[in-house]
Amino acid sequence: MKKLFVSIGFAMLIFISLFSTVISKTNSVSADSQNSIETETSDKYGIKSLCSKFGFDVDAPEYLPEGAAHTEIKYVNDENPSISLFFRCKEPVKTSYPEKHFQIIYTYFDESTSLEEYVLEFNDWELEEPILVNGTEGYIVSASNTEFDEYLYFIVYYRKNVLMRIFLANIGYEEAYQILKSIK
Amino acid sequence: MKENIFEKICSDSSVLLPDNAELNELLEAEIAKENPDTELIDELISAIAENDNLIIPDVDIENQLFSIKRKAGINRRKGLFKQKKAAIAAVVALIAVGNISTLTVSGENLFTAAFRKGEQIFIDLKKIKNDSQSSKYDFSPPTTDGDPYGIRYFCSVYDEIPPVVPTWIPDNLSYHEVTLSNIDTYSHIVVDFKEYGYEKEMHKGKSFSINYYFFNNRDDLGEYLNHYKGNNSEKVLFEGDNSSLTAYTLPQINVAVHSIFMCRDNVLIQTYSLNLTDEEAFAILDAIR
Repeated sequence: MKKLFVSIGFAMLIFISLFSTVISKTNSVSADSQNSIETETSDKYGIKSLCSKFGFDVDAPEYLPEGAAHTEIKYVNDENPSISLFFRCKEPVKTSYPEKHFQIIYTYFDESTSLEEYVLEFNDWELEEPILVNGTEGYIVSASNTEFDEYLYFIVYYRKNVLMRIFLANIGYEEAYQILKSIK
Repeated sequence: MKENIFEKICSDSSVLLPDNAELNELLEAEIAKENPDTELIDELISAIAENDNLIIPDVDIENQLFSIKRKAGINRRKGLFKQKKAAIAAVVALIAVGNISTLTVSGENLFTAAFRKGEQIFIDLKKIKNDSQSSKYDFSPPTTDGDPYGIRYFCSVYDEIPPVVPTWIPDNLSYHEVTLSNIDTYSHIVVDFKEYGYEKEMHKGKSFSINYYFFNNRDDLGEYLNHYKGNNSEKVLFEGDNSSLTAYTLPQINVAVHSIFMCRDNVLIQTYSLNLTDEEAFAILDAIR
């Protein structure tokens, strides 16, 4: 009889543990899906899903700084269509000042478009070594000697006709590296 | 002074001049060196261009290098090596700008060598060409008879439903920009239409934009509304299907702007018309359904 009670006890413990895991997963998805962006395993922040609504097939980072929440989307339909996603990092307890924020800009290019203006733009910036990401080369560019006070680094990545630039404000190299390496 | 290999090759009549494939190899090898010889690179680029009948703009590599070094300042984290590479790539990019039409036909190698080996971001023209064949951007928002410009679709990205949308705007305007943002008390969605060809010139050409403010709480909307109403706004007649809509014209910001706002439920709608005639501006409002 005693063994039976122990077994039932264990079974209940396992059930409670499983139940709370399910609840916690549900909550985490719900928190991530702010602004109704759908989330999937391969699209942790819903960036791909969001961009697809504007006809963009993009790669996206799986890692973003803590508390990152998107605040604005801008879609421009011109010669080189682009979509810009603005994020702020709302930390539960303010540990850094000034606030971290960043924007991801996807720009579509086709073969009739020249890219040299973007290349020339980078010549005054510091290029780090290329980093192999997802089968292509990504770059972290240092902006420490430019007029952009807040923007310390930006990430450049190109694939499938879409140029991705991530401008990072008040975010250091280590996080920039983590973001770049997490692109999928 | 360093020996100029290229000159040496050229001066030796027993040696056949290398073709562009070989020249590109030399160029790539030189750019990849820790201390590349800018004079040699200059010669190689000239030779490649000459073989391809390209015209090289007069660009001084050393001056470009100096200019970039000066801009870089003393605190650059990169060494001279990287700056040189950037300078070389900058020079090649300048050359490319001068010859872009020809380069797209015959100058792929020049691009490849200069940009890839010069560390200037992934600009591999050949790859871009290949990719573009399989990935063509072709997007327009889903439309319906009641929403011919896809405004309801754009609002649905934020799960918002606009109470009304314009069903007519002047033919020469097309949608140009959509902005969606979340502010604490409301979502703000703007759809801009512009006359084709004036995208980059502010205040030129005709444009129309419609702003939706979706308030979480109608009380917050009331504050905004009072602000507008108190701002010398003028109530305009708005009859017909939209009897529950009340529209107000705002004082003109300048002679070219019409600004009108209206609200329904918890949504404030504001329209701006730039360089439209009075008839066009009011015809848009008339067709808001």
